[in-house]
Parts: sequence; C-alpha cells; structure tokens
Amino acid sequence: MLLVLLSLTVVSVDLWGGDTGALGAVRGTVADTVAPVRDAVAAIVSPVGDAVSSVGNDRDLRAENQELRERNADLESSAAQSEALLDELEALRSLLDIDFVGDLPTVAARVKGGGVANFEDTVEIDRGSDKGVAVGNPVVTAAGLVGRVVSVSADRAQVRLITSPSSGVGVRFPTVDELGLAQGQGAERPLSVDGIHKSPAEIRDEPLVYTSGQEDSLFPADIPVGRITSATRGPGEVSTSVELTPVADIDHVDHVAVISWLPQPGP
Amino acid sequence: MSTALVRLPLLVVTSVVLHAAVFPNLRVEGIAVDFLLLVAVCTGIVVGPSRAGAIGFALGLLADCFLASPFGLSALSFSVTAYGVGAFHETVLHRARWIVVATAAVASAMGETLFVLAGVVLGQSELWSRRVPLVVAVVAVLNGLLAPMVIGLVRFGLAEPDDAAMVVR
Repeated sequence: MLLVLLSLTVVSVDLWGGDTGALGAVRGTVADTVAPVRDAVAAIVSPVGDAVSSVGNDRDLRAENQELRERNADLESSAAQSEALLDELEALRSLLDIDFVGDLPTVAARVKGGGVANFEDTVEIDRGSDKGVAVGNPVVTAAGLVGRVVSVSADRAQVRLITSPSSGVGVRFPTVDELGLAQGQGAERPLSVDGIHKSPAEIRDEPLVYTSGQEDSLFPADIPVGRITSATRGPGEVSTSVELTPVADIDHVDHVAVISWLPQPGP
Repeated sequence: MSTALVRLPLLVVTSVVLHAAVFPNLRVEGIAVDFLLLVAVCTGIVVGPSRAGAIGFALGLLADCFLASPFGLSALSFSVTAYGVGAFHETVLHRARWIVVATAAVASAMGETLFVLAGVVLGQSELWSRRVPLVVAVVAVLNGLLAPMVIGLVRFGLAEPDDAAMVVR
C-alpha cells in the first residue's frame, strides 16, 4: 500500500511538473546516460531484429529479397559510400526548404532508432532541449507529417509517430472541405478516418489530406498527412470510413525536421 | 566487500541494457519483451512479496525513464505485480518450471494491463487502443518463455540460493 501511494505521488508530481520538473530532469539524465549504450547495442542487434521481424512472412521476405538483389546490383554499379553520403546530404537539404512549414523555424534531426514503449510507436531523435526541441513540437519530413515530440532530454527526444494507436491527427479533406480525425493503427498500417459525411466517390478524388489546424489542434495547418488508399461505406451506414497511407515514409525515416511550434491553448 | 554489492548493480545494469537497448530491436509484431517487468516478476518468485514490491518499484522507476508516459506509472504497476507474484508464489507448493513460466506469463499480462488501466484512470487515455490486447498477449508469451533464464539472473543478482524444492520437469 505504501508503494502504491508512493507511485501515485510520483505520478502526480510528474504530471504537475511536466518535463521541466525535477522528475523530468531525472528521466532526461538517465535517458541521456544510457543513450550511447543504446546506440552501440542497436547497431549490433538491429540486423538480428530485422531478421526476426521477417520470420513468418515468407511473401514479404521474397519480395524484399528480390528488392535487395536489385538494390545490390545498383549499388555495385556506383560508388556506394559516396552515394549514401549524397543521399544524406540531399535529405538534409530537403529539410531546409520545406514549403508547407512556411516561416516557422525548424531543427534538423537524425532518427536514432525505435523507442522502448510497447503501447505507442515512438522513435528517438538526436536533438533535444539543448537545440530548442520541446514537448509538443510537430515532426515532419520533406514529404509530410511524421509525428509529435512527446518527451525531451538535453540531447534526445522521443517522437510519437502518427501511426501509433495512441495518436490522432485532425485532418482536412481540402477539395470537399470536410474534417476528420486520422487515428493510427500501428506500424506499417494505414491511418483510419471514420465518420466522414461525403460519399466514397467524392472522397476518393482527394489527392492529399492535410492537417486541419483547427483551434486546439496539436499540429499547424496544411501539413500533408496522407494519401487516400480506400474509402468505403457499408450498406445502411451513414458515414464513410477512409484509410490513409502517410505521405512520409514513416517506417524508414532517417532524417526529420522538428518544427518550433507549439499547440495554442484554447480561450 | 560483499558480493551483493557487486551483483546487484550488475543485475540492474544488465537489465537496463537488455530492456532499453537489446529487446526494443528484437520485436515480434512490433512488440518487445518488457524485460524490467519480467525481472520484477521473477523477483517476486525468488524473494517473496515485500522485497519484490520494493525492487519492482525501483525497476519501474527505471523503466519510466525510457517512456513518455507519466513518471511513476511503471513503478506502480511493477511494484503491485511483483508483490502479487510474491504473495501468490508463497502459496505454491509445487515449484515445477512450467509453473514459473505460467506465473511469469500471467503476471506480465496483468502488469501490462495494470499499466494501461492506471494510465487511463490518471488521464492518459491515449494509452488505450485496440492494439492493447495484442501487446498484452505477446508480452505475456515472450516474458513467459524468458522467465526460466531470468530467474537465474535474478537469483545471481540478489545472491539468493537456488530453490531446492524446485522440480524440473
């Protein structure tokens, strides 16, 4: 009982103090201390993890194998290392000039790896409060929305991906002028938007879906979120269910830009 | 110098590295072993409810350092789970290995569920999703499979003698 009370006290203190409180500092210090070990171990273990993930998925494995053969042939015909460096340079350059960000300042960051949590999909980036990253900042690639910063230490931050089941993004279908909430369904799965009033035929014509930027929204307006992959309405249903594929390659993202923007509190 | 002063930090460091650096890269269906929860559960099996509750609390605080959820949420679920496992295991006369596996699996499922429920009660509604049952089930299976090995690690770390009554079947 004492430990339960102590736990609840710690939770309360943390919720009250936020990431700027003493417990946030403790969390940040531990995360920063362990980060180099995590990076080193991840470099060794990740290939094994990829192999584990592919077990039991023979069709994907064959397709991936074919893709790897083709990629290998391409790489042999060019200088692999310089190509990789050029790609990285290009990725970073693209982050410097993202149209939809407008005048908002951004911080370029590299994705260091997946998060520890099971109940939400997160990635860790190599920029933290020292570079001005704050909890609540939207995270994007040149293609579109990736997620939102949910915790930050001095030189690291965790980003909750929009594909996380605990993530919801207010979206706008610009052509038909309809709003909805894009809910994550887990890694490598589309976002789902339920309760759309327009018919599937009208919705399918939308080229891209954007953040709505409504009052109290967690994201600024007009960031590309996803492309419509399906729009269906069952017999007798009065609303359309839509599935979106994120425009950002969220499962393979290497570099991101953190937008120095915070949700505006309501009146 | 007492060996416990060396072994305990070794257990903690090893557990944190495995929890934060190794198992997140070895996911099944995108779900990783909750290693610190498993250590807390195994502590309950090895040392009984009171010490396990305290150790579970400390391990939970460490786990919270790597999550975006409120600090103390894992401490709450780990301490309650470890205490419950300790209390339950004291009543178990048969110490067959399958009981350890089953206990770890069920306790891990309960620990994960408690984490989500406590989070939702404390206002973290985003912790609940349709994926939660899958996460709970996969963590239970993975933790259960690893339990016999982790029991050995915990016994070493806490300098506890092997359970003479445990029958390997």
